[in-house]
Amino acid sequence: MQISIDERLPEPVFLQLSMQIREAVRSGELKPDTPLPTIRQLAAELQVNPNTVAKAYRLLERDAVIETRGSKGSFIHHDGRKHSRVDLGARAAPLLAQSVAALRAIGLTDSEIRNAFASVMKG
Amino acid sequence: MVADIQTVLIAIVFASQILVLSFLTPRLRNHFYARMFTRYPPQEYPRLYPVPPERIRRIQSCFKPLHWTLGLGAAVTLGVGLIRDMAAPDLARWMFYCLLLQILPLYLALPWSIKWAKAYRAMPPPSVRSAELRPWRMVDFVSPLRIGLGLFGLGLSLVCAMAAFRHRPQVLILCLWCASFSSLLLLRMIYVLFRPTGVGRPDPYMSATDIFGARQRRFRAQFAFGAVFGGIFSALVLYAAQLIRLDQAYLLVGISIVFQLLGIALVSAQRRDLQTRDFSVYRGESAPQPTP
Repeated sequence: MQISIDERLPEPVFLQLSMQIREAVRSGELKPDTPLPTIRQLAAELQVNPNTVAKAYRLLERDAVIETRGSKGSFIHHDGRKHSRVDLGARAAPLLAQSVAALRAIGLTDSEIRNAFASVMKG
Repeated sequence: MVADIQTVLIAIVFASQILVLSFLTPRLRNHFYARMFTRYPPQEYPRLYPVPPERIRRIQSCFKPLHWTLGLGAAVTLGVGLIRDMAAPDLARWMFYCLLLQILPLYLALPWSIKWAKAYRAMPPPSVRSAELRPWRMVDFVSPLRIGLGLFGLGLSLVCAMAAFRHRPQVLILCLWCASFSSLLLLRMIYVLFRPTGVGRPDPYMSATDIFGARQRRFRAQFAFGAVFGGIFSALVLYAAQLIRLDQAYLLVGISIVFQLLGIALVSAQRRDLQTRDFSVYRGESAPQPTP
């Protein structure tokens, strides 16, 4: 399977990588237990920072689309196809929208909400 | 003057060594560059020339007189050797000295080749890049037999160097030289065996098929090099320690033939590359597109 990145797109590279792998798992192009290249290998091939690939792999591992088997490397999770349909990131948007609406309702300005969000994230 | 068969054989190999290493391969290499400049002009294919073409031409022209001088010098040596009815082992020794001198331009060109390879790798990568999502292993590029032969050849030369030193400590320097060279090659092989893509892309624009081909050629050459040179080193140290009896003249003839074949293989690979590689990826953004 060919994986490609486009630096001109607004999406960050790690997201482009994780989305393509997720899509390939969902469509069945990548079967369960298929081995994936190592972080360094893929980074060298795509000429990106290894941290970028590591970030994409972490994201997919968190969502149980891929799994790391110790020193053997990363593989497609045996339930990867099922898990690839769940987008944890997408769940954040409606929750945040609710909170922002509630904060606006009590009279907070957008910049106050942004500052509060940033301080909570720093937490 | 009646020349024996051994002298005739050495004279033939010596003559072909002069022809191949000083005249044929440099000429073919110059043809390769000339054809590349014509077929893929620098204005249209700027990504193919991270080093300015004028500089490439200048360096090529510097090497031409050197090759000619060394070739003519070697031809004079051969002529004098035959006229003076030199003994076969002496003629073979002179052939070997000439070989060492004839490959001198290769050593001189090495820093420049490294600089060129670095310039290729340092080019800014294109915005859109792709790769195959699969873990690469060495057996994807090279057959296990070739890998085994390469490792065996170098391992054998290490064992032979130790055995030769134990048998005859006077050959310490030759044993050390062979052992250190073999160890370096062996370490390099073990490294690429576990990290076949650790060597990186030859350049950021090369197509996926060409990258695979380039890696395959490189690894095949590396393991073949290990097997051949491991064999030569083993024979050399065992011969020096008098563990095997070899006619020195035939050993030197063998070395000369190996170098000639190596030279021909290198230029043939370059020529094949020019015919089979996808050069469209090196076209500049503003270059006119080819008509179908």
